[in-house]
Amino acid sequence: MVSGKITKRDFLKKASMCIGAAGCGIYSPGIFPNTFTNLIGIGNGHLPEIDLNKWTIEAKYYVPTPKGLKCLLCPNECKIKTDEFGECHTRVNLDNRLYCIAYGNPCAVHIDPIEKKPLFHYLPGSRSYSIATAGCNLACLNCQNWEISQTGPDKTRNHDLMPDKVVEEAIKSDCKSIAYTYSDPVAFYEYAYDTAKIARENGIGNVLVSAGYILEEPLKEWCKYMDAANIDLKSFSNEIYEMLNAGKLEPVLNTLKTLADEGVWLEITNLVIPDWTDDMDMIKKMCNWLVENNFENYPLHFSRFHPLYKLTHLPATPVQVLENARKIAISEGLKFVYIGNVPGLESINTYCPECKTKIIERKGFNILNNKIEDSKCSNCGTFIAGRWK
Amino acid sequence: MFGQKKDSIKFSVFILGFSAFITQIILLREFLTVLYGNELVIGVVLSNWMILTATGAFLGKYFKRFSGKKMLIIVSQLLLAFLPMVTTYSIYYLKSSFILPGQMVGLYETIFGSLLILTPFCLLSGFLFIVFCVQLAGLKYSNIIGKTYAIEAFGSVVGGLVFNFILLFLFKTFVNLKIIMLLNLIAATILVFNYKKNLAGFSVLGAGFLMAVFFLIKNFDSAVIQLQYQDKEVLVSENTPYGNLVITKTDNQFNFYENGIPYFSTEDKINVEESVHYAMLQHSDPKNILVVSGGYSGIPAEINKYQVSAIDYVELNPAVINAALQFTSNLSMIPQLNVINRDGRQYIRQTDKKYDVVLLNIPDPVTVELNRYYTVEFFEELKKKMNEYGVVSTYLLNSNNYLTEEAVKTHATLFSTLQLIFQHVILIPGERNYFIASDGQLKRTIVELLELKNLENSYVNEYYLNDELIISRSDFIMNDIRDQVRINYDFQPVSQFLQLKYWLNKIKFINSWPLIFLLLPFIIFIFRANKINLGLFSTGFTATSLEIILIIAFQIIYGNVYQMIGMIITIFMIGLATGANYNFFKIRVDIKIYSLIQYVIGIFSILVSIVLYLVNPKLGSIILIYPIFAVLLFVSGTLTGMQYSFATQLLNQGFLLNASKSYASDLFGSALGALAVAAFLIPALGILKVCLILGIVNFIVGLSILLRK
Repeated sequence: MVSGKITKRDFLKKASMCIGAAGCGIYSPGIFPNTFTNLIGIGNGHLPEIDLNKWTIEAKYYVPTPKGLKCLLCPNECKIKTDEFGECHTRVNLDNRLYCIAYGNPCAVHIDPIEKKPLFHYLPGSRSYSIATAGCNLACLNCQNWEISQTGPDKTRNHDLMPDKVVEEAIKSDCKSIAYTYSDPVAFYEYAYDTAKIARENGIGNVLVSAGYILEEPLKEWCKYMDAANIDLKSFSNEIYEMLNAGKLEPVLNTLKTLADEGVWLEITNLVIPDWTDDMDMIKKMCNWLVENNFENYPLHFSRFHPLYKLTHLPATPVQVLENARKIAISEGLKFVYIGNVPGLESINTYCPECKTKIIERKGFNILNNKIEDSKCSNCGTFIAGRWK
Repeated sequence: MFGQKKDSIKFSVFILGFSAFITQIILLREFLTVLYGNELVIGVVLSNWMILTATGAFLGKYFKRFSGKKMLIIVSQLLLAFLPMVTTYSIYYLKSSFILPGQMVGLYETIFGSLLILTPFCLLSGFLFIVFCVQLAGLKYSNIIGKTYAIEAFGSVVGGLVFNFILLFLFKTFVNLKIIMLLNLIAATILVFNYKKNLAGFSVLGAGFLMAVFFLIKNFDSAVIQLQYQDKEVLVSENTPYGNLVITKTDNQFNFYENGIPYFSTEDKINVEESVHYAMLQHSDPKNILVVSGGYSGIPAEINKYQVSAIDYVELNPAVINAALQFTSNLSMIPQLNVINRDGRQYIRQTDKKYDVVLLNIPDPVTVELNRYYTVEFFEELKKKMNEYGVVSTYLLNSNNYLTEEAVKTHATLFSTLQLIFQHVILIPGERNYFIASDGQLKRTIVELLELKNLENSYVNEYYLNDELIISRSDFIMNDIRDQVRINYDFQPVSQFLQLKYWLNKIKFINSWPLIFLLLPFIIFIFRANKINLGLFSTGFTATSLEIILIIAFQIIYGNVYQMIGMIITIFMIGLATGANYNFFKIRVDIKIYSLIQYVIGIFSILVSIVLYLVNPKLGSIILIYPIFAVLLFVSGTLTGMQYSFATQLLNQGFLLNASKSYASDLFGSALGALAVAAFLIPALGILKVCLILGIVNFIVGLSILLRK
């Protein structure tokens, strides 16, 4: 699909501003640990061996403070000292300037059906050219892409795929959109931004698949070029956000509002994890908030959890729990509620909220029947929100 | 029977060995239900156990400073009654208090948590061994340390046999621990009647009995289930020989947990369909199908869509089958299904049948036992039982969006190992990454293959799958793995080593200082020990390593048969007890003999590697395997016991110090064996090389015994 892979060695090749390694010795408590480390082949964490190169770009949002550079991209607001990284693994303070090392070097590049994101009301049946660099500003215990989210681009095998090339490949592979996905696009904000800009110029849509953990100013700037977003609203409890995801709830709710205000098509995913996020009262409160804040026309996807990453001692979510959550959401007033990660359910179809006609019949990632004409139900003429063409 | 004081102490020693061994087995099993189950974790727990027991023995040298010695012994014996239960309960209590719901326990927590939990029991049992030695010596019972060691080993043998063959099948964990409690109470009572027939003695005993009543009344088994599964409906909680099996019901879904990990939930159509159809579709007319493990999740019904003649499903643990029959319809209503309760590899080696499609549903090779299903020797055996153009399917659990370096190597190893045996191998990325191998042509165009058959699937169908995207994702992985050729062997478990590295990366184990903390006692010991204790250290290290190696080798060559593993440990312990009672052999002890035995242990280790090399699976004769392993284990145990007995004769530092240091040295060596050999050296170097290393280590130590002053 894509040629010109780069290796970590290339990535770290010489350049003028090598602030460089303070030396492995600083990190090594003695000779034995190194021997052990060599035996098992595990790295010593983030060493500041980053050089300025074409995969490095100065970060857009930061200010200097006496405690280091304060990153203003996401609510973590890391204060990053010289030669140190932010929590996202992609932002490094080199010589008192903040650089993002995730630019043009995605480690995951795939073509997916748009329904897989999931986006059900955005160009249904189309394909999305999906890219991700390593790095994420959260640390979810259940991350399904932990291999790339909990590390940095300096540790992964990457492709050499600058923004213009991404758009070129997307067009070549007949994709209607580019999805910034898998890890979290907030970690590769600048790369996603520049790519989205070129994509827009070429008539290709831009899709964010994110936890939405971002500050308002950079988000608004992003929104200029983003067409749709699937935001993972992981729970409706600040405490759970902190313990499960190392984040906070409020910024994500702000993201939802901003995206809607800025006219980005929005769909929301809620992963229902047994013992963590399967409390129906909490789900009810979440749905209630969504309706009160005028999100009733935006689809909500309840997704089934499977044991992953560090949450290996929990079973998959019972389908009945997902069905219950869906019923609550509908009774609270949400108009389009779907269930994901469970094949063969009727609840992946779209029903007209007025006349209850099955207006989009889906099977798997395919559209079997689409009865939406000019964004309206062909049966009763009710407006069906979405970006259908 | 216990009219003489020495008999009552001997009974206490026996009970100590009996209790400690059963407690060790139970605790290890319980730890495995809350911890990650690879060899490193098991090694850490065992190593902590032995280090702590050794420390307890070492502390035993201060026994003479105590004024109320007899009361101390009685109180210790009483504590030995209750601590196993407290320790076991604390595993679950601490986990539910400090680990988030459903979270895997990392290595730091494993190291320090198990150290904390095991400290009271292990310190006490080590300490008590020395105390009993001293008491027996005080009664002028000759050759006392070796004899005490032999009695303790005998207690362990009986404990192992009673637990593995009787108690495990009859009672739940805490009922077994209550039996241990009662035995220790009896021992304490006998001690009181022999040593402390006064008010203080009877008061302590009375307090012990009162406490016992509390422990007897409380249902700890259900309390522990409550801690683990909270408000879930627990339908089954069973200790099977192969681990803990729990079945819970959440809404309409049944969840099957093996050793605390949910292996399967009903309503999981994606994994069931993928594990069947990707392989079955490749065969033009599949008639005879073999499923190795995991069939209870609903695989036979999916296979049945192809109108096959026979489905043989091999599952090691009969309890899983019984539970599946009771709570699901996955194994009923399929007349072609034949369930076989055996070790999969053993079945494949011994069956006369031949198959068209073989579906392997084995967890990733995180242990040597699981690695047996990913080796070139296994695939070679499997191919002999497959018809021409037969198809085999196996999988790895990694994400298909991106593979880490370790995952790339694991994939590459499986791919190139399969390629050695089969002409064609393809990779189908799904929820898991499936490897399909055959001598016939294979296709990645699943949708195209589906069109030829008339199947009604929920997930493996043209609506979810797209051939172009499958090939694109398959190529994405293949580009990373195709140039890496690594072969996974039975005795050189490359895949297991890679899985260990993958896991360490996953849990972000990037600082190695906790391991320094663990290894520090060994390093200090090696430099500070005198030559006799160094010999014992080396002997303990070799004995534990050889025991682990022989258990692994037996599983590879013969199969995982629970009763046989129990026998292996028992035969070793019989050897140990025999050797420790060295008077059988009428050998006069001097330093040259001691050094010689060290050389013999070294030669024996190398001999083990030669024997294993020669016996290695191709021999296949079951009649020969039993006696060969029995002899190897008995000799290994005997040499260890003899060396221990000789050492205690040769040490001339005063009786108490002798007993304390010799027991501690032996255990320290064993601890290093459990940690370093099982967790790192075998996966990194392979079994045969480790045997050679053991040989060399013993030669060096033997020489050093002769040369050092």
